[in-house]
Amino acid sequence: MLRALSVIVICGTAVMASSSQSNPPNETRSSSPATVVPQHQTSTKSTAIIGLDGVKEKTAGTLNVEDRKLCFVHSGTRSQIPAAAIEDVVTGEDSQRVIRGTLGTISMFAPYESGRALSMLRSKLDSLTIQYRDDDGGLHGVVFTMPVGAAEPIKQELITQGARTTIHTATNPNVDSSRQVAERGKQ
Amino acid sequence: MTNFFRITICSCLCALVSLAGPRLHAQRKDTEKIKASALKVEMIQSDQIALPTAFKVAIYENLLQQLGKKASFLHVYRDGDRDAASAPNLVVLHTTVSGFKKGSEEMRQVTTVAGATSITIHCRFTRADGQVLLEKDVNGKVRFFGDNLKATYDLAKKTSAVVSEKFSATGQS
Repeated sequence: MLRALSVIVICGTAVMASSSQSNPPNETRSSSPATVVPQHQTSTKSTAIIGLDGVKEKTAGTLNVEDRKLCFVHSGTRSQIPAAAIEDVVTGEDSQRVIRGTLGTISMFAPYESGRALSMLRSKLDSLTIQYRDDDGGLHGVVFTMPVGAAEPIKQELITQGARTTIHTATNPNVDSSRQVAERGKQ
Repeated sequence: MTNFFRITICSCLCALVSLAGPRLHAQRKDTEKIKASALKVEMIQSDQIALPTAFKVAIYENLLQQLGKKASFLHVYRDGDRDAASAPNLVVLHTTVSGFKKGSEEMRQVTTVAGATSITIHCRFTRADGQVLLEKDVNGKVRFFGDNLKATYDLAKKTSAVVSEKFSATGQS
């Protein structure tokens, strides 16, 4: 009885988490939420996976392009990468568990192997990979993940502001552009 | 009596060899370490094997992080860093992908036994003039927990272990 109840609770949490994940990918942030003002810069919820100086791995924050710079803001700290210094910007796609973190780990021990079933609840992600040079010429690489459909607009914005890319136009934004690179490499 | 002395001397010699042997071997290993004061990490090359850019970048950044931790006796430079040119005893790490199997995190979590991600890189350590010092293949895997990029972390840890095992700071014995 207790086991069945815990399975129900975990499944309920999964459903709630999945519904909270299905936000629109791009959300426009304005200083006054009451008035709708058209803005040029859109902030996208994003996670810096690796490579951003002074930012821990898998840090959640917001990403936007302003003043010819890619800005990642998290808990009051702002990291910037000049668009002109970006040598390559590539988008890709990935997926992640809907229930992750501590709850995700605990769910692995749920009865009747229900933790495994919960692993199949996944949300799709876009990834944005950037390679840029610092003032000394040192190469840096940064990987961001963000909701589906958010990476390509940021990439295009960066390109218009001076960034370079190995894939100029994505024929299909749903296709992993890094996969295209790989296919080109095979040829 | 003579036999007793012979046996004693023989057993003493055996004990001496068995005790001192490994120590001498270890000392010789230490002296065989390659002297270096700085290491420049080149961006990973994947001409033959298709490797997504995110993996390339993650390997490169993880390598820099892990080398900073495990091989702290070396000053680590990034690819293209102009300051590296003036560094004495500079070693350059060239990495090429020699194997890549992208698994599935979902498959790993559901089946436990399937869906492993595996990356193999060929590491080539050279002097600044191109003289090859060491070549080694390193494999990174994620079998059970974690996303696919965790394989890059495993790979970086193993590569930096190779560096700390095979290299020593200039002036150290």
